[in-house]
Amino acid sequence: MVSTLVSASAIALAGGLLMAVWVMRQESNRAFTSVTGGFDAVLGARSSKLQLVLNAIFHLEDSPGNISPADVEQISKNPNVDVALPIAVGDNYKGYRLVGTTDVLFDRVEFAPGQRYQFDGAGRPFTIGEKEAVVGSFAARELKLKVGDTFHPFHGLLYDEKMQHAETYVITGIFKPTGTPTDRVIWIPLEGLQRMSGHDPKAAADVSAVLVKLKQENPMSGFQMDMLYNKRGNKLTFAWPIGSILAKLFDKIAWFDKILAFISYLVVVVASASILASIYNSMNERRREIAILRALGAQRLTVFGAIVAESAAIAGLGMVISFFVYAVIVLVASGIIRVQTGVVINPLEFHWVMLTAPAGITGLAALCGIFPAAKAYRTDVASNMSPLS
Amino acid sequence: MTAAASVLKISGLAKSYRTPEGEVKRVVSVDAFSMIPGTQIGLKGESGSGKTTFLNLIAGILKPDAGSIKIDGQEMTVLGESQRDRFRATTIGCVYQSFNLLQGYTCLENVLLAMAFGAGRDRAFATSLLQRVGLTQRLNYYPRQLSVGQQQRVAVARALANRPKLVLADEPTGNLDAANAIETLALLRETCAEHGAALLLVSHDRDILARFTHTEEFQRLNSPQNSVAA
Repeated sequence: MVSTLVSASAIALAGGLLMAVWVMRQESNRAFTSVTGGFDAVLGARSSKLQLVLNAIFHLEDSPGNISPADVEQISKNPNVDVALPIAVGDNYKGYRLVGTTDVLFDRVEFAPGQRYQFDGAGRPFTIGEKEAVVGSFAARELKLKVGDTFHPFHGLLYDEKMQHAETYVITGIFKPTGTPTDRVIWIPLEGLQRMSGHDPKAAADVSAVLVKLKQENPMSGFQMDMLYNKRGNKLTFAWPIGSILAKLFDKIAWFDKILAFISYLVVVVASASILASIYNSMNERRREIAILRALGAQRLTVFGAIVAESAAIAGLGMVISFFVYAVIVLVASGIIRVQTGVVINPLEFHWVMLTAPAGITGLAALCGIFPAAKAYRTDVASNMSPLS
Repeated sequence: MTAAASVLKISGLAKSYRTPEGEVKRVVSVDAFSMIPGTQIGLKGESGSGKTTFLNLIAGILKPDAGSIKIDGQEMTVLGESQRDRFRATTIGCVYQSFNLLQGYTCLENVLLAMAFGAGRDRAFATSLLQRVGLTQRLNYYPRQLSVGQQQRVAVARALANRPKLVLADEPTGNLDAANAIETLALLRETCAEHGAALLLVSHDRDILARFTHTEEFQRLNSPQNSVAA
């Protein structure tokens, strides 16, 4: 009984881990490649496209450099561009990024099709030229900020309490949750961040990047912009399309997925082997029971099948428990991803692995059951009918 | 006595074993033995005389080297192992000295399990059998919760679970005290008679055998040579 529970628990852990690795890989891939904040591209200083996207869309990584107001002006007037949202980064409040931008964020940007940023309760956009801020839902919750609160920004992207700016900002609104990285951002007027005390006055008009939404009428607009900035120009980088750039990142770390998957498979094999060992070791004690069953008329194949079924049943029990293990792993993992990136992953989304893993692992356990079953099959009735001494 | 009228008919039966020294030792050599339906025979045999092997041959658990065993008209020696298993389940009941109940199953489940390999599970009949052997209040008890006498009663009920033509009992009272032995034997004989099953009981206990009107000396039936071949 104890060994059965141990074996079932091992299967539960193995199955839960296997399903969690699989689902988290699929879901994070899907979530990260679909989170674009409503933009098609990012224009920034010459750098890698991935760094630009991580910095401007996911608010991770350092800014690769600044771009001039003339470049911002040029792309804003480009006939292929529908929306151009300049952003500036470089400050934080207790670890949460301050991003300077324009009121285009409130008027034009749809973070998902048909969905504009909305205020939670009685909030309003910041006023250009004022020291006002609008806070993403996650940042507001974590920092316990509400409308009317004031704060002093800190210099740099990493929180250092000695680097506090003198300026005082007042919060005018809290955004409703969007499930995107902007939930972790504190938005302030662009010039507020550009002219923050201690910043280089020579770069006061520069921005960190421009988030770009292309016009849909021209299907070639992306290619034309790519040609303009990346092929013919060498001063700026036009990161387009955002989803593909993230997909390349996942391709680059695919080896890590494979290692995780390999470890999961290995754990499954070890757990199945534990079923084999526990049943095989119990065969000596069960010789008499098997002999009695045979004497009652049970055929060798019946006994063989019963042992295989027992092995499969232990795995089946383990796989039922494995869904609990799976739920714990994915809830914790998706929570960490949410906290670190702002990207929301639905951990309870149905995936075929939730059917194939239980079926596969139960089948593997049944295969492992063949070895003890063969031992049971060979049990001699006449010599095993007496009680074990 | 004709073959058709016999529930058990044995002729020229032989079984040998190879000893660890490589010697082939014949333990059973029975020229002829038969039983008609419903009869009860007490077979007297000393320990090590080969009587358990003899019963295992009849039950189809062992395959003889030579000879013929016909049970209810079916020649056992031509059947394959799985066919013998099936035939044993449906036609033969067995009672053992050590009861051989499955400890993880209740009394009722032990009887039902035997039915599962034979005619099929019949809860009402299983219950009636256990009631007949005086275990009405013990249907859901596990063997370890019963006295040895009660355990052997469960074994008797189980032996009759598939309405067998023949019941083989190997020292069924060997682990019981005198009072329980007499009581269990009486129960075994009565229930076999009630169900029309022939009973072949092997024992070395003279008091037990004295209760049979028909007894045989196994040593008289069995005349094995010590070694027949190297």
